[in-house]
Amino acid sequence: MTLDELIQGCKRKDAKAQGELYKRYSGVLFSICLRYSPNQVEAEDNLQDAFITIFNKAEQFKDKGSFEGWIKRITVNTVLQKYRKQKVFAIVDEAQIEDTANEDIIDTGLPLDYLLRIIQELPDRYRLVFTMYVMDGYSHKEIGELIGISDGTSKSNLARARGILKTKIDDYNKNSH
Amino acid sequence: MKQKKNIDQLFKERFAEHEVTPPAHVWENIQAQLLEKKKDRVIIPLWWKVAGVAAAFVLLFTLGNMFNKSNNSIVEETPSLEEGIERTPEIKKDLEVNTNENAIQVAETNEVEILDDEDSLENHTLSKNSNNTTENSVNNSKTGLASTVKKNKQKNTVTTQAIAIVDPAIISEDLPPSTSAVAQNNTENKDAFVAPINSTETARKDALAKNKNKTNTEATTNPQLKEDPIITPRTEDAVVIEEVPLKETKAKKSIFDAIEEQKQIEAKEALAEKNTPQDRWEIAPNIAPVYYNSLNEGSSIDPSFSDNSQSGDVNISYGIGVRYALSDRLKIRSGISNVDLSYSTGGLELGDGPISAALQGVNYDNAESIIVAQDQGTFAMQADGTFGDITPKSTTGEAFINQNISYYEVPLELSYTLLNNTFGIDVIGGVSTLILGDNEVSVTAGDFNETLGSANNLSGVSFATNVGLGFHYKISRKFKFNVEPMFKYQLNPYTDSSVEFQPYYVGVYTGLSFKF
Repeated sequence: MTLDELIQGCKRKDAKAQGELYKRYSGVLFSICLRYSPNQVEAEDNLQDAFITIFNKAEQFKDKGSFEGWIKRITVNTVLQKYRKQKVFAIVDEAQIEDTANEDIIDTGLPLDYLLRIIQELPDRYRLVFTMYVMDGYSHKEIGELIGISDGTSKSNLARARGILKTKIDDYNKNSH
Repeated sequence: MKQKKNIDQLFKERFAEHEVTPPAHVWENIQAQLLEKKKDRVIIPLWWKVAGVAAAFVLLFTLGNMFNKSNNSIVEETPSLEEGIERTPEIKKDLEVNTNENAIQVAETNEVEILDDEDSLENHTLSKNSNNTTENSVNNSKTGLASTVKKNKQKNTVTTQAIAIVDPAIISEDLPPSTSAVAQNNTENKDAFVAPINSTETARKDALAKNKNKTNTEATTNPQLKEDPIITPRTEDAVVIEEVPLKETKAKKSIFDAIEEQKQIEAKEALAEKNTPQDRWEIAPNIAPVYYNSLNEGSSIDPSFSDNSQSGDVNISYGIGVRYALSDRLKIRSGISNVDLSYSTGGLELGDGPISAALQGVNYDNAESIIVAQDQGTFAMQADGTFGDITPKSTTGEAFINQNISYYEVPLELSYTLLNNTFGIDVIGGVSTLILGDNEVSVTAGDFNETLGSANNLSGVSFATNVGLGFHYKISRKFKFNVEPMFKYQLNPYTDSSVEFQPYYVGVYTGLSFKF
């Protein structure tokens, strides 16, 4: 099945095409969900919601841009919708976190699942801002609009996220030696 | 391998090609959810089908009634004839039932079936036969060969049976002698039967018209009929009419008995007329207080409110109904009405905040800064400001979100009359199509009142199932006062099937109805 056939099939809500779409893209999209969610279980839920949205909105895809880009955006939006509205947030003692510039750290071959875990452990908004900015290339302006904060808040959230991550990586490096 | 990298670079690189295969149950859940959606979608066409079948049924019924009108008199009058016989058993009289259009299907081979009724002694057989005849005539009036059954009841025995059989093929060749007329005479009375065949086209037509008049007006209602015309119509090309003048030998009935009998019959006829629904149409303006609520917990506004205190409000529905009587008990009902529904959710607190803090089920009119409503106590937990720049509003009293919806409702219902005296009772059931009109979500707290916007998850067109009872009081022949408590359960009010709110509304529809 070519990509075009796949897209057309999904627009018709053809079950075979939907299965194929899942097979091809669930790995990439699950990675996004894992980075944006606080844990594996919620990441699975979010992936499920994202696919349902993709299948339901497939007919709205205009065959101009990248299909992969489109389904990734839907996935990010699905997750954002959930966490930007989260009413109970992990309470972080912000005073203790220093704003951290994009400092150098030592990569001792840190395991990927450890990196994933420390991202997931970030408070919701820090996690979203960090992942969007660093890994998915959103600007502070876009982030601000998408989750309803100012550019400045987005910048300071990013700096604090880095601070938390750096501390944890340093701890890991110390403990592993 | 030690490498110096900045944090951003580290994460970006390490996750660049990151892919994780999700566990199998995720796909299973997705499939299950897709199937569920499909089922939801099926509901609408199914109801359309049901409505379509109902509409077709009504149409057939109406047409059937129109065609049936000429035959109605026979069907309705038969019981009175029957009773007339029972009441005057001592009268020795001839009873002749002429079924003017007793159609029996004729095979292509001109095979003729004879309807031979031996049991003419039995009154119930008479009426049954006559009913059958009417039915047959509706179905086969054009293609059937009509045969005539004449029953002669005298001294409780069958004295005369006359069956006239006409072979249409022969008739078409204008050969009267080959027409077989069978006359059976079992008694010493020697009833004479003459069966002349009018073979000319005009004569047939005249005779047919004459016979129809006779049979409709007299033959079946008047047991003393002495002359009995028998009609034997055939397919389009050959209509054959036979006139069999019956010379009755014994009609020794006293004039008083005859008058008495005639009176009884007239009384019966009058009664039958009264019971026949003459004024089939009825127009019924109505107004109702309607109470709106949900069968289970859940909120259509935001899932986080499902455990909040929620209450339905009482509003007004008004409209006009049209009813058509299919029979004297069964009515089909439709109309149009406006239904206002409202519902409020309590246990909230309000604040000003960004659109990101929007409620899931609401489209806000103002896209910049909105009134945020959240569960009571949420703001306190967010005091550190980790998320959202929400400024709590200082309001007095408990805050509520109110949802106001108005629908245009077009019902399609059937009602069946259980009791039909001065005071009557109907049972009513059916479906309503609801077309969304106004749709508004607002917040109130003490004196504070503001419209947030509209609900974004309401279906433009949805359906409801209706059940209820109708109580009516006849003010006059034309006017009735009606009180109809109805329960209406909405089938697909939301576009989003994950909404767990299952709304229904209950109304007591009150009004006057007018028959015409």
